[in-house]
Amino acid sequence: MKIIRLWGVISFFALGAILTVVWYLVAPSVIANGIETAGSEALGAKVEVDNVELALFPVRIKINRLQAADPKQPMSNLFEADQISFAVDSEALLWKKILIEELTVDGIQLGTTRQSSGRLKEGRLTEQLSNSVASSVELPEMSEQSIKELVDKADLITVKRLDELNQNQQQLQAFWKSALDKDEFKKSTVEIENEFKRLSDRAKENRMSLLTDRKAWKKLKKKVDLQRKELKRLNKKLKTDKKNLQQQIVKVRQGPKDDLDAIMAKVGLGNGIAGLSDKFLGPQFTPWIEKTLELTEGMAATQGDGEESPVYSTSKGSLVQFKDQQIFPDVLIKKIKLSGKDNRWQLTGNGENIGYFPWLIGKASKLDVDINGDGRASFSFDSLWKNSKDMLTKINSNVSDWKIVDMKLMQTDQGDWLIKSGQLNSTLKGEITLDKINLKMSLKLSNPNISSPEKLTGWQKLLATSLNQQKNLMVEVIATGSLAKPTVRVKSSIEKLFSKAIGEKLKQKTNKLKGKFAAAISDKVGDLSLLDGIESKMDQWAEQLKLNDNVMKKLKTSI
Amino acid sequence: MLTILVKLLKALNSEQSPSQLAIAVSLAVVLGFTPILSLHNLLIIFFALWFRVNLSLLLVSYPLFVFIGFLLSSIFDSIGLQILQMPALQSVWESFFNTLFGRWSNFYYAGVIGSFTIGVIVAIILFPLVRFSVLAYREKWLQRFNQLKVMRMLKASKFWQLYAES
Repeated sequence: MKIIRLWGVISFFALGAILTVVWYLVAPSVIANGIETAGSEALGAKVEVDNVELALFPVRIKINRLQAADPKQPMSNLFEADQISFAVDSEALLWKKILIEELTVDGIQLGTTRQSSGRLKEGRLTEQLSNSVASSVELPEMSEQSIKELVDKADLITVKRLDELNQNQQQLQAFWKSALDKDEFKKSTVEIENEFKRLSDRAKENRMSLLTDRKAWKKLKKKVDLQRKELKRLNKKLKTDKKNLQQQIVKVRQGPKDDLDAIMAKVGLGNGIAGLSDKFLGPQFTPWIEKTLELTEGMAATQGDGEESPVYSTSKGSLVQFKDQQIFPDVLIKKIKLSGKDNRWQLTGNGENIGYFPWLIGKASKLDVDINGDGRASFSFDSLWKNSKDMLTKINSNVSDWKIVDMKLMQTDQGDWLIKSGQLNSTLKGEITLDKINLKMSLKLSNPNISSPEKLTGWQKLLATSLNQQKNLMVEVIATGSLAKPTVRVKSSIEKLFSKAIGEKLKQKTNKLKGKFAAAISDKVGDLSLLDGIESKMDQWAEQLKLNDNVMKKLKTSI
Repeated sequence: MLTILVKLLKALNSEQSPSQLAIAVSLAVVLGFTPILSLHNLLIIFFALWFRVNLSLLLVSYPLFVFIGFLLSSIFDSIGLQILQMPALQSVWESFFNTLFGRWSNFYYAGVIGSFTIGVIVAIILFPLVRFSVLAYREKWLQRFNQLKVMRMLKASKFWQLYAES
């Protein structure tokens, strides 16, 4: 019987050849579809590609006419490029690495008109700026019952801190009760006094006994000294105990506020990154920011002890990264060239060493973009990863004297709010490391001429009038803290105008809700005014120590 | 499906070497336990087609081992991680990772190396067991099997016609 099956070998290679041909024919549409699907999902609006050209020898990809719709204005594009082309290094591809010597993006245009709507039918849709601001107006409606339930379910930090304080207090009470036992002290004092009396009487009877009793006098003095030393030690301990207890009390008193902040954050009224992004950048950016944070956290590998290689969590499971002799990242674009123009501006850009994992590049990733037109805008980005745990990214962006014409500010039910004219000046500067963020953005819109929809009423009408009366609209954003927990402070003249326009109604509503939560927390935690009693107890102990010491002092003087 | 079952029965009852049947089950274990789109699976398929491995048995047993592999995937992952992080094997893995085959093998994924290792072990154990079972079936059970009432009913069915015609 023959061992080899000839038809098997032939069909294997035939199937392989057919699959290769099919892949070659289908790959361009698969790539185009991949870009469209991933791009649309990330942006929240349609990303479309006219077609993709693929050449195999050498591997070269051309993406023709890429359009990314503006989620805020679906009939116009946020970004459009005539052609994106790049060649992939075949040798690097053999090592499962994508090495692009030069990526060229030609014909960049911004804000072009679309022929069809870029709105995603069932995808994420933009929430207009007005809605995001209005989200602070429309506070979540919560009944008394739901507030109580939320507080009941919450793991209140105040309760934990109170428990700790109670435990500590019980321990202290037990200790000081025994240390300041009055009967014990009296017994010891009486013993000393009796001995003192006995020795004094003997000395009065016969002065020579002072010499014969000298050892007894010395012993008595030593006993008093020891008692005083012990009292001194207790006094010192009491001071430390008091300090610790005071710190604990401060924490307990702070507890309800911390709990309130945590609960407010839970119901979307806190200052979490998602809430901030929703409010100040717009909800369409929130998933991006959250994904970036996730990605940054995921990039940090779990390194085992000793010589173990780092392990990364990937969609295919755990990946162990062995030392790679092909020293460049899995994806590396050595050079990027950007160019594009519009009626009003011209864009040029250069970048280098953009890749993933970035710490395998060994050089700084850079991107510089310049836009010249009615004004001038520049953006510069420089990121260096010394290793997977040490990154420094510098960002510097300037916009000077940029004329704004017919730019949409926001949209309300009544219609669009447009900046008819104005002049924009802005700067964004700062550094980001894996531990710290330090970013500052200043934005100034001079002489704004804002057209608001007709038939506005209430606070919106007030806002429209106020906006047009301003000489400058200013926004300052300062981001500090860490990537995982950034703190963003925003000072904005627009915000001030909004709050003024919205009026006291919002303030009252927020305060009322805060008041309800605070009352519910207070119900659960109990009366914290009892904490004052703990401190007075310690004062009593201190007084007792002082009295004891005075007695001993008096005795010593007599001796 | 019926045709495959017929072929399977025919293979069991035929003069085909028990080793050919046993190796089909062994290859199906590795194919089923590990992700199908892996370089080693391409080699296994090539091997199965080139040599006279019983394809019917391979096709029938493959889904069963895929299911078992799915249930054991977390175990594969933890075993794989242990294998990849064994200090004694570090230099071996590093050299292997820096070869073209190593790079495309995906063996540096804990799940792949874990399932592959367990798959190979199970395949080695199953090979003699299946071989022995086929021999035992043919020698001792085939006669009794044919005399069973169910088998006699089956022989009167359309299924048996397919078997006879093939």
